[in-house]
Amino acid sequence: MSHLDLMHTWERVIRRSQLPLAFSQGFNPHPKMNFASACAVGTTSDGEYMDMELTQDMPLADIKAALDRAMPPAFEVTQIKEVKGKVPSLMSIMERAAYQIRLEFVDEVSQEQLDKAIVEFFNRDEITVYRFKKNSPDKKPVNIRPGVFKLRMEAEGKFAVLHILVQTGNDFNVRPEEVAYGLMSAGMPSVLNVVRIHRNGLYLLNKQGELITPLDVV
Amino acid sequence: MREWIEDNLLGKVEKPLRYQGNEMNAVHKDWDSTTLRMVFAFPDVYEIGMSHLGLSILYHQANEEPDYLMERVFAPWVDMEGMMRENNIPLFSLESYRPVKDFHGIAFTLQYEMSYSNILNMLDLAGVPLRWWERSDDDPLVFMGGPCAYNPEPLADFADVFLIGEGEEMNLEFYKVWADHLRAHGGKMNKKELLDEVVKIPGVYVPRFYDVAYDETGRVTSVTPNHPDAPAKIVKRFLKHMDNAFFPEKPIVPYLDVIHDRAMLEVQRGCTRGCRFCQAGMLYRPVREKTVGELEEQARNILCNTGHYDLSLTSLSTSDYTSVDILLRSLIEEMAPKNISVSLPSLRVDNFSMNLANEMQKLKKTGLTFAPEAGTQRLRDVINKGVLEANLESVARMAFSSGWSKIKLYFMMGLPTETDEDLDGIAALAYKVIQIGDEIRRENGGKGPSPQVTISVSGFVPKPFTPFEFEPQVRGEELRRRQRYLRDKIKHKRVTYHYHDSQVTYVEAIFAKGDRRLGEVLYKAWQKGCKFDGWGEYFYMDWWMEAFEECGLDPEFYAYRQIPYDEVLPWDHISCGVRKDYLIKEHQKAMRAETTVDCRVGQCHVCGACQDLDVKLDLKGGWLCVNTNAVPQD
Repeated sequence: MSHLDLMHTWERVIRRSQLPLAFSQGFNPHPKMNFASACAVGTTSDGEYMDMELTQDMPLADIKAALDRAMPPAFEVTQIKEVKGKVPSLMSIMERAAYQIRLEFVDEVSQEQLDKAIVEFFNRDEITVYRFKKNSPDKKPVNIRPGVFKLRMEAEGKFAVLHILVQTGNDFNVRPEEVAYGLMSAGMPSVLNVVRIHRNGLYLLNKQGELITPLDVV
Repeated sequence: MREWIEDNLLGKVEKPLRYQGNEMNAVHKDWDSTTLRMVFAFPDVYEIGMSHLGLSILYHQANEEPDYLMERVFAPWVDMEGMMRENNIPLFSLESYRPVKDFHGIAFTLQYEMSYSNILNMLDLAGVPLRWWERSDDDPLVFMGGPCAYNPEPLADFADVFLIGEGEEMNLEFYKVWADHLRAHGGKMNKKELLDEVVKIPGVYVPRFYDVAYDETGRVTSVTPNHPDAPAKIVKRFLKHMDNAFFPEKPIVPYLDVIHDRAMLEVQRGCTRGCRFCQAGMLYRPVREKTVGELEEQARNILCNTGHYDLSLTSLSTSDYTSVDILLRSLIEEMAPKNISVSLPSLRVDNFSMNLANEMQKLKKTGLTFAPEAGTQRLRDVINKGVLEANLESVARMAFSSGWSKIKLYFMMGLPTETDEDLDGIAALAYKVIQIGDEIRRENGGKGPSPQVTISVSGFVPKPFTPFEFEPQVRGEELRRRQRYLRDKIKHKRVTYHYHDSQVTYVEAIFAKGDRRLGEVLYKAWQKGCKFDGWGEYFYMDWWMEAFEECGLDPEFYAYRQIPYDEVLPWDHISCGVRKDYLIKEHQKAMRAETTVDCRVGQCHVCGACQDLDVKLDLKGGWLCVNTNAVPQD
């Protein structure tokens, strides 16, 4: 679903839950909630984060119970933590996103072919893909290579599951399907169909450079 | 099947959420523990269908009964349809992703003539034979209802049953006979026997039980029952009172931004303003209101169960609800602290409505829309639209003074007796409104955005059961001349002029007043590829005209003919309560530019609704007439 649809859905969830959601002041008040990262239409996920502001203190267990009651099918709140004081927005602190992508190839592929493409991908300094501009036929070249950190693939006949860890955030963002195109330019056999894209998680990095979730921070 | 579709198709379509289901408050029932299983089929895309209150009412009403199951299906958009056909995926329901063919019944709602081709296309996608005589006892029963079912004839080949009137009143009765039949036949249908039983239910119309005779010129001469239990006249079913009528308090909440993405609360049914072009105003007589207390309670529950943050008080003309100011004030008082906005979908052109608008739009002042419908007082009297120029001027003054800067005005073109002078009147009104806006802006020291006026003009389509049913539509070439004429009259850069396609309104006029023979035309047009005719980009006039040609029928016969009062109309065997002699009387008054006062304030005009049906005007607040100018004088 689109990011806008997702935001509307969440606003309705919170309203159904009867939680005392805080609203911005002004002419056109909007609910104080923020999301870590937009997810493309058609992408599923089980690692999303959002923060919301309430007008009064409540036990976390009560908040979770209220949300659970109001949740539509296919949505689940896994964990809630309290954020104290002023903190930077979720979107501005996110650094990494993990996806798994199910690909269908034109012909049967072997594990060797896929592994070779991955090695080739990391051997290059530049992997160029093209991004189309909105409402324009222009496309602009983008080097995604510096934004790709981990690649792993499992061949299953004409299909393969591609696991990726890429950069996300305000500065630079690699889209999952771009990694598949990039791998094709590094010698991966032709893909017929991107069957499914699933986001496994969103992360930031700690001082040691390890992946941590926003919940680990607070 | 769901997983395959999600993996292989949904990733590639424009809006996958159209086909996903699983929304909050969608009803998922156990297939095997229900006796009667139906699918509500809306012959347009998800966003349109999910904005339709009727679907919500009938879906939840059926599902409240433990023995019945009702799921939903919408017309798949062209991209999805292409992939479904390519992969041999039959039309499937949103709740259980089961083939539509597996249900006992498919319920189509008829909201708009230009969705008929989608009905055929959906049946075909479902693998259900299109015509009733091609279907076996193992195929679903196809039944239809809604406003266009009052002239069901163009769809007579495709439907087994039409339900005439208000669904909440009759559907459960119909389902019960059907479920009893299924139980008696081990879960199977014997359609012949079933139809023999359901035809006895008042309001049920089984087209095959009637023979239609035509004269040599193609006019209908008689519609005669050929079944012992088929009534000569099928009278609409109606709710006697709206209080305690079924209304869903846990409606489905779409994930996708639909057209009306808000909680909808119906405050009343019917409208007796008596605009002579308006079919709904005749079909849903008399006016029946809900009580303020019940509405407040329903509003609270719906908002709580959906989480919506917009509440819309709907009906044909909500500012006529007798206690509208009391209701609106109390709802705003309760909802505003929760940041829930309350609104009325349409406004009358009078000061009273403007006060309401000020009340409900304390925050956002976007655009205001009014519908004078015609450009001169003479033509507004012909159509009985009780709007005086003075009303419009004072409303415009109030709107601009209160901070609105954009006003949208709706008009119809091609109304009976219209001349170029009436078109001049449209332009003059727009200029007048702009002038008022400019004056007020000057008075305020030129602050704020410049006033803007949008004129939206649609082609008039004469509809059955209106005083204008006898009238021809203005010919296409003449309509296009009038469009150009008006366009050339409007030279102001802050007046925008929108016009709707005249070709679509021509086909709409044909089917609105069509007879049974159009079934063949529709079938041929669908074979050529017609679908989504209401969506400009998929409307192919040539295909429709070829279909008429091949059937040897003259489309102009249906749309461009002045019909004599004594002619048998293809829908004369259906009754909405309003008598034909009343429509004739109103038509004659229209030709003399005489108005008729709303029976809620004036006297009863004996339209037939309260005389022939066991129902009365049901106003809860008594009539509060704040601005007498708003009411046309007799």
